Order: sequence, then structure tokens, then C-alpha cells
Amino acid sequence: MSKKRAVKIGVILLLLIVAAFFYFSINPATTKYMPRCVFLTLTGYKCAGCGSQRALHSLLHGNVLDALRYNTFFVLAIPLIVIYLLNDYTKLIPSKVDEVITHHYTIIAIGIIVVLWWVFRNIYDW
Amino acid sequence: MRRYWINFKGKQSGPHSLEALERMGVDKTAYVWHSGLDDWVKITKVPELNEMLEKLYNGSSAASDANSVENVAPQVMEVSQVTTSPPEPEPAPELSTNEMPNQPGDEARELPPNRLNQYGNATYQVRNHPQYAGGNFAAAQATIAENPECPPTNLVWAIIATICCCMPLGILAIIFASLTKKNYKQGDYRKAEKYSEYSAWSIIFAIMIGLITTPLSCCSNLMLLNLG
Repeated sequence: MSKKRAVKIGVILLLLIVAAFFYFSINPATTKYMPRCVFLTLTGYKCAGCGSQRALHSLLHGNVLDALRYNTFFVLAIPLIVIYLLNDYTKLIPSKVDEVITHHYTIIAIGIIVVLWWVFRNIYDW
Repeated sequence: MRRYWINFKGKQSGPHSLEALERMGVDKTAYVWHSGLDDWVKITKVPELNEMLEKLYNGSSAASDANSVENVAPQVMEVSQVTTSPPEPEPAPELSTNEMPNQPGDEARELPPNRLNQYGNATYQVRNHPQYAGGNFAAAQATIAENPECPPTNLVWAIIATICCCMPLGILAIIFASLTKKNYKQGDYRKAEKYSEYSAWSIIFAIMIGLITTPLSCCSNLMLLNLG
């Protein structure tokens, strides 16, 4: 591993730890200073990512059910993001899995799921 | 950044970045071609690649035989001239291998000499491929289709941008990511590169919008708080 790469990974890990500590100690549901979704503020409709901060806070405190209630898609997307990151930047993921998860149908399916989730949560006020 | 085509252990592939070549673990027996060269050259003849090789093999004498070897046509040429004619109908005469390389006056070529038509004529490439000249046509085509690297789809960042920054642009980036992969699979590498860039730009704009609007939304929260 080159020095540059090690520094990069170190910086990213540091940022992640800082962010995790930040969201662990501050409860976005009760703090008024936290940024609110602009889409929600402007239109009154929730976006696909609304509730992510609260969900992250709950997750860091171990309340998975609360997290799912705040933003189901966000919680489900975390393992997905981890897998894709590993696939992009390491060689840990076997190429057969890579073929499936980076197939363009899979990608478009993710896009469709995002849109469906967005519509669904606004209709049913999830 | 410069892109390289490589012929290593009888297998030809490309375009690769310098880092990709480093990861492939090529050695000094490889031949390379990049835009601007007339013909394939020994890898040690390209200064930056020679430097990379020397770094890779701890300063061993990668360049030692560089001077003794003149610009030699790569193995592809030699082999395809020797092989007997394939079972498929002969390619059109103007596409015959022997006439392809070193045509005078085609400067600024974007593709290596014996794969002049990478974007269209897979059939031609395969017939002249050293390993497949003579048979197993479908397998050869599949292998060659895998050879160039897929441009980055930026899918992870598209998902992250969708959740964290700006949903509409994030979804756009996901769609572009899918188009990148689709065009790459269909062999349209130029279009794939284009969509890869589009998805990258969508993500950049999404993040910028997120960075601009997030403090604003904090401000508006505070103002509402003060008013109420």
C-alpha cells in the first residue's frame, strides 16, 4: 500500500469517527440547530433521505427499530454502500458478486427502489 | 492522463491507466502502444513506464536490454501472419492484418495499429487475435469484450448523494451510472465514458447544492426559532 493511499484511508476513517461521535452525542430529533431537509422545507414533501440524521442517531444508540421508522431506506442502504465501497476500492468482493451488483439492471433497480420509496413514504406518511 | 494498450504474454488489452498497468504486474517483456506512437514498442521504451517498472522491481535493470531491442512489432503481428485462415469467411481485403500497421500519414490515432477499429469491428479484432485466429469465435468475442476497463460508474457516490445531499440529482446520477454500465457491456466505450462523466458531474453538483443549502437550512431553523 502506498503512502498516499494510507493517508487517504486515514483521513476518511478520521472523518467517519468524528461524524459518528457527532451524531451519537446530538439528537437531531430534539435539536433545532440541525440542518433540515431543503426539499421538505420548500415543498412540504419528504425526500428519500429525510430522517437519515435521526436514523443514524438511533442506530448509533442501538435502536434499530427506531432507525427503521425514521428512514427504512437509509438503514438498508448502509450495508449496500459498504459492499459497493469494498467492491470499488478493495479486492475483497469476488468477481461473480461484482458482476451481479454492478449489472446495469441492478443499478436501475436501485434507482427505481429509491423513487418508489420516495413516493410510498409521502403517500403513507412513513 | 495517458492511456496505454498493452500486449503482455500474448494477451492484448487496453486502454489502461498507468496505475492499472502497475497493478497488472507487467514485466519488461510487454509491448505497449499509446496515442501518438506509430507502432507498438517495448514497454521499456516508454520513459514513464520504464520508470514504473524500475520502481516495481526495485531498480533492477529493466532498461538494460531496452537499447538492444529495436521497435519490434508485437507478438500479435507475428502470430496472426503465421496462422492459417480461420473457418469464417475471410475479412475484407482492406482489413487484412498485413496492411494495417504503419500506414503512412495516420497521425493522432486513438487506437493501436492492429486494433484500428475498436469501437465497431469486433469481428475483425477477433479474427486477428493471436489466441483465437482459427476458432472458437464466440468465446473470443466475449473475452475481448471484457478487455478494456469499465469507466467508473460512481454508483456508491450516487447513492450517498441521493440520501445525503440532493435527491433529484442523485437519482440522475444513478441513471447515468446504469447507462455507463449498459453502454460498456454493449461495447460502446466512448458512450460509457461520456455517461461516467455525466454521473460524476451530477454527484459533484448534488454535493455542492448540499453544501450550499445545508447552512441555509440551519439559518432558517434558527430564524423560525427566534420568531416563534
